Amino acid sequence: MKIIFTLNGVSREAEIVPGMNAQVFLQQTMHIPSVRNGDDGTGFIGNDVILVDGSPRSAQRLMAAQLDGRDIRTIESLNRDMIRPGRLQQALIAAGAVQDGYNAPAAALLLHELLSRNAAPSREEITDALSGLFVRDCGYEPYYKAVEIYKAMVQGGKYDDVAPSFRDDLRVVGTPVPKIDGPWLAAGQRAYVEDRVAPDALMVRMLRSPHAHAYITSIDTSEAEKVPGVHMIVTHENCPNESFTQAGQGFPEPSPYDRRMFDKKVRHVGDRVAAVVAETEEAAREALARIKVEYDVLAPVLSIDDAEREDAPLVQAGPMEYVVGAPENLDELNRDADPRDGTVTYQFPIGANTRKNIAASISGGIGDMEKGFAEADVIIERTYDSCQIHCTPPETHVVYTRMDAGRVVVHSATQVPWHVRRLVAKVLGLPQNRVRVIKERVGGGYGSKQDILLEDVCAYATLKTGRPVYSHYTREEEFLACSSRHPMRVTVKLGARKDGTLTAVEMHNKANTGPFGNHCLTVPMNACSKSLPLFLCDNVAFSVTVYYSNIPPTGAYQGYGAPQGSFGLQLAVAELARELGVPHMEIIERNRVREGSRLELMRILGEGREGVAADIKSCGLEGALKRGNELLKLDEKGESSDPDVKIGKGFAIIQQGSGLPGLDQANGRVNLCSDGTILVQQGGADIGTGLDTVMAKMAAEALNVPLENVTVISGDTDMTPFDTGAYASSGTYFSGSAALLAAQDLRKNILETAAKMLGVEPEDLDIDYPGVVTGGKEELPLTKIAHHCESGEGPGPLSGKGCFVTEHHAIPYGAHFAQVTVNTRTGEVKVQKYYALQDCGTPVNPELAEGQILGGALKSIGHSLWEEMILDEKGALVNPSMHEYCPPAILDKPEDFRAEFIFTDDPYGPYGAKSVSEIATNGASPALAAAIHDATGVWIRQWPFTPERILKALGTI
Amino acid sequence: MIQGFHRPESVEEAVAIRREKGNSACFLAGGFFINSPKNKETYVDAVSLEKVGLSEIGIGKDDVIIGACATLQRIVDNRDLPPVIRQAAGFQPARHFRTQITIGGDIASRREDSFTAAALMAMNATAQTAESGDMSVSDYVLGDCDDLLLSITVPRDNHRCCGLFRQTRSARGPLLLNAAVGLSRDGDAAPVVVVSGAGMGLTRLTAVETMLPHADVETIERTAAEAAPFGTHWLGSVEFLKHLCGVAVADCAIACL
Amino acid sequence: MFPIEKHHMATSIEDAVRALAEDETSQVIAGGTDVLIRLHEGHGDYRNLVDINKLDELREIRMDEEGNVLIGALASFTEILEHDVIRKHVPVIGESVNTVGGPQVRNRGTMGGNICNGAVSADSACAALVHEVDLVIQSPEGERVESIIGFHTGPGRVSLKQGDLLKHFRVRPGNYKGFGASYYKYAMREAMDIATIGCAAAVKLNGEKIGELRLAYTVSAPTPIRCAGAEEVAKGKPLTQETLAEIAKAVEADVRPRTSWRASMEFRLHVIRTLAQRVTRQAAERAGGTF
Repeated sequence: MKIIFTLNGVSREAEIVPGMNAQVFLQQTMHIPSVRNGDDGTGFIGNDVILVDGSPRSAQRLMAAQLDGRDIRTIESLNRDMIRPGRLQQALIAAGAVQDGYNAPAAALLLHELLSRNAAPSREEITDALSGLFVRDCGYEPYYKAVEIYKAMVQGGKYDDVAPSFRDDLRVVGTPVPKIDGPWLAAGQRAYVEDRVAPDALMVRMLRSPHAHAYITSIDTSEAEKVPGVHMIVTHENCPNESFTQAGQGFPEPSPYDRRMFDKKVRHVGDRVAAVVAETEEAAREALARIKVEYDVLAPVLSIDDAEREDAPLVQAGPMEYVVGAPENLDELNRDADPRDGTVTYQFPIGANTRKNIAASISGGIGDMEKGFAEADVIIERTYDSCQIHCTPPETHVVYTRMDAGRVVVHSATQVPWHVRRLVAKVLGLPQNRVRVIKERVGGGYGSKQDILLEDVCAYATLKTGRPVYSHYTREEEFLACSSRHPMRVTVKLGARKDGTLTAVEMHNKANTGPFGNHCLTVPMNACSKSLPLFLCDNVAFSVTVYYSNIPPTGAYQGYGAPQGSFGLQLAVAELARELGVPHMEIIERNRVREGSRLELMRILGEGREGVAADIKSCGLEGALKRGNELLKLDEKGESSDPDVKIGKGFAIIQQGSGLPGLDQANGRVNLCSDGTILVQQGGADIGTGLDTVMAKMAAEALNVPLENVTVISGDTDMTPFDTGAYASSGTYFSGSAALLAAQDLRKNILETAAKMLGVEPEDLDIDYPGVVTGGKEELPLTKIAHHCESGEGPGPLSGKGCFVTEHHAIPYGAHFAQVTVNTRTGEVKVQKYYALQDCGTPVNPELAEGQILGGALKSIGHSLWEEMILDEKGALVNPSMHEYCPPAILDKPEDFRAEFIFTDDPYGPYGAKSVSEIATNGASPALAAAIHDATGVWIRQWPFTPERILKALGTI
Repeated sequence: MIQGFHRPESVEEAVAIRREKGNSACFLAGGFFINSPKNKETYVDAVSLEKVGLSEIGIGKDDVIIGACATLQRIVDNRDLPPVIRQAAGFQPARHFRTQITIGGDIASRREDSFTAAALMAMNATAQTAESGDMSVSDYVLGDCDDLLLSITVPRDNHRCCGLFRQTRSARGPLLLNAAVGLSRDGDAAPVVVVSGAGMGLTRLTAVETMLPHADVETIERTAAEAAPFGTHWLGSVEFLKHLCGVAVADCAIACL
Repeated sequence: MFPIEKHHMATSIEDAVRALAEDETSQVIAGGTDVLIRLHEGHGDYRNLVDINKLDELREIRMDEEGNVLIGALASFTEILEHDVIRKHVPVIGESVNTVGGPQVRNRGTMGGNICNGAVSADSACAALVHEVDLVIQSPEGERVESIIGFHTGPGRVSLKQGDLLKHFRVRPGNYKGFGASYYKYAMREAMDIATIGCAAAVKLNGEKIGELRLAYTVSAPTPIRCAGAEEVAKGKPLTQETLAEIAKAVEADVRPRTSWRASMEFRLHVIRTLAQRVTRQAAERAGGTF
């Protein structure tokens, strides 16, 4: 069928099969990169939005035939000259609404359509226009601000209230400035892995296990190989025999190497069974259907209780081996090991015992617990359960690999380029200098892209076939086979005196790490190490025991265990307050960490190694608690006009870290280009967090040049220096510090060179804005210096290097306050107010940070109220789709939703900055649970706080 | 995948093409449900209704006629329509889905989480079809007529009142419970009570219908809870779902008593 | 501002007729709603007004000795729908004007103005057509009677000459006695446009069968029309659903749908058919029949 239509004002025609999906047609035939499929054709994410005759539609829900005769508009129609963002997109960038940018074009189209109907829309109308857009990054609030900014732009005015500014002494750090990669993301340009794929790329599709726990007794790919277009099929019979961990962590990893590319055993529904590499998706799927597999199905282990039982089936039943530190009874432990399971290799002991399904364990303490509890007037002990939660990034896992001059190039949406390089090189048996990893723009990471889930297979296929290879997880695969939040059972025992002073704090954490041990020690450990240090107590003990099971894989999800630990500890303290009859705020104030505190506790909370006591140089909790209470007024009881509805208020304090002192390393190189502009080469991975902008600001600030004169390239193992990766909130503190050090080094080199050129001492000189060396007999602009450097008499081009490692902690803090309504007849909970007060020292990008705080808070509101990965009795997910899994939409957002900064002066971070983008997932569950208790008198100690659980607790059902 | 795309310009032509192509042909209004992941490989021929012209809404003194191809958004925006119909159309939370989904598509797909079906049934609305004449929306939804829908006629609120309830797990999440209770103001109450959700398809609770309009709220709540035929579902226990159904039906009944 | 050049307040019917005949550019202003709308739209031909509002004799509604129902040209919609004579004998005329705008319009608008302006959406036109109303007109040449049938000569045009003044409408007993009548309309109100389709039916029974059907529509064709074909089909048919369906089908040939309806043709034809069945049935039931 021939269709004729207008696309962005240009008349087009095409010969199509009528039923071809309109999104596929527009993205692949009409080459509009930004009309995407994030969700298996349902249109839930909304990044397939197009305008059809001016009306917004989901392109995935249309067939190409329906475009005939229509006026179709995509983001390009809002661009100036087709490539630069128009005013509405500029407003979105200015408001901090463009973070990972994956959905920015859709947001712009939806708002554009709204504004063409109504130039001054109300909040409700904005909410309604965006009701079908799903984002995970900014909590939706920045969109309202974007509309205000746009209206001001249109009226020719300026909008001054974008976000607060900090540090009058600095020019760009601490001031809202449009994110440097915002323009091309908001304009819909090619930037993500899926936009890089060559037309001749082969497709990889995986055959996945239907069973939660089984041995593959036979696998026959002969029929599948005959399907035309199939190049190779990889199974456990022909894949590399390297074992590894999928965790993107520094070597030696605290995670066991407990899987191979393909195993003889499958350990979760959705586990890899085979990979088909074929010319097209259709051929790959056809081949998948013809692979014949026979399984010896085993009973699955689906919970901690299951895993703990005496006679429980063993998930990792193979022999254990240790690089160092093997236990003395290792041979005895391995006596009954099953070789079919493959060997589990530990780089060093992590307290594992696979014979008992224990993936890791650790414990520690300070002080004297017996004495502590003996001194208590009241002792409470409570158990709190968190459930398995999914990251749901808008962009699923995606990789594109190709050969280039004998080297394997991996284009990945990853948080950890160097860990990917190391893993891929190891699995493929290549030296690392034959592998290049390029981190493209990432449509949402949140920890899920810290794990290495596809790169090994695709890189292997590229190496074997010589062809480019592409694979993109379906949304269902993202649910089945991606890393999720570890379910944990946290038991907290608190002893306190009558006045609320804590005398003993004990925290026992049992965690479920699923089938593989990636992050099995560190995440559950972190639940304790990022919650216990909030309180000053001489007697503290913790233990962590982590179990293997056959649930979908877990891994690193924002918060990295802290949300689960925070839920337990913070809520226990709230319960303690109730037991004692002391106001919650008073107990918190009495026991909390403050500026100047020395945390001995940190000695026992290293991640698999001895920690170091921390001196808290900056702590904004005082300001955060004060401001939160000012906004929410905990002492004023809320009344509803509806007799069925009760109102309650609650709060919690939270912390995270800023990277891993003693473990992380970041490096930067800052170069003076021939014309005096600056090129930053930095290993850090900007996954939508604005890290590139942070680095640019560091360079611009240190060198006193305009931000527009700084370009950043990052996350490329060939072109940028080593960085451990974007996790554990290391971005600003580590990568930013490295950029700052490098910029300062370049500054020193510039002044030295200028000094020689001017015949003076470097100490006499300075760099003045906008990039001129002053103090000598003439002013030297950087252009002149650069030119001189590259001349026949010059010393060579100037650059600066920085390597940042540290033993110092820069701990961000926060307090979250919430007001809820609970309908006691239906059990429904709504969040009316949510205030997130955060101390991140100097906020480098305030408007982006605000969005990240709100995004993090909304994620945790999600896991507190609606989100849950639910398994049936065979271990299969019953809700592996966005619609059924329930991540929050704009309509779920708290009505009054705010993030505010509490400024503190930190001596360790670059220009005083601490991390901000991870911490905000830690506060909602204890704050909401406390609020629900305030409203109804019941404590809900299990995620999520569903209407059914509330009605059961109330005794209604 | 659809291979044949037809664009008739009249109802007669549309019906004729569909008859000729048989069961592998579908009518295509907005296309939202036909293009859903589970349906898009089902049909071979699409009979598009875009040129047939059935998307208008006519307002009369006592009733309204809504063209089967009127979109949910058009219904939400039309201030002359009975408020409950606008409310029901607004149950689809995503605006850019409402601009595509038609009222005809919504009820013809007979989904348990239909947005407008329960409200229309409770309002005693009638469906006008191309070949099978008029029938109540209730009979249409609960039966298996696959005739082309032309329009839906709904009494205005001077003649019929209706209460609606809808609770989903999260704003765009799966349906826990949808309920509608309708009563006539014209003498014969003709009560209609419809519920659906959590694995239970659109169901009339006749036990509650027979006791309206004279029963008290507690009895309505209890009867509705007992009568609702829920099975096991991951969204909640039978006990919880039945409780919610009772609450929902009682609240709807209160709205129109 | 309405560019009114001359405004003559008529003191009597003769005075009004004389003023109208004298000045070619003069126009009658009665209740004012239609005229005001057109003045607002800038129609030049409404600059000289002959105001007949003081002519109370034109407001009368009564039945005369011969049983004719007389409705003065200046009787307001409200007066018409509330009047006993109308309610008792020609209720469908009252029903049709009850659908006009809101109370304010109904107080000021008149049936005379409604019909004489030839507005295609004239609500009372349908009812007038099924009752085959006479228009009693005073002109300089004296009194004459025009039938409503054929009175509308084209969109916005009627058979009135310069100097004509409509005095009253007359419904003869043969045109209402023994008839049951009904009127219904649907308005399609989207964006800026209002499109309405109105339909009136009058039915006289012959035993258990339809003796005579009169069926009229507004806005489905350039002028208000009677459906001769459908009326013929209905003669002598029993009171069944099949008969109604046949009438609805036959109507399609009588009605000449406007080309501007292209995008909603099927829906509007559907409305026309639906109206035919509904008003015919109700008219027959009011005449005493049962389906």
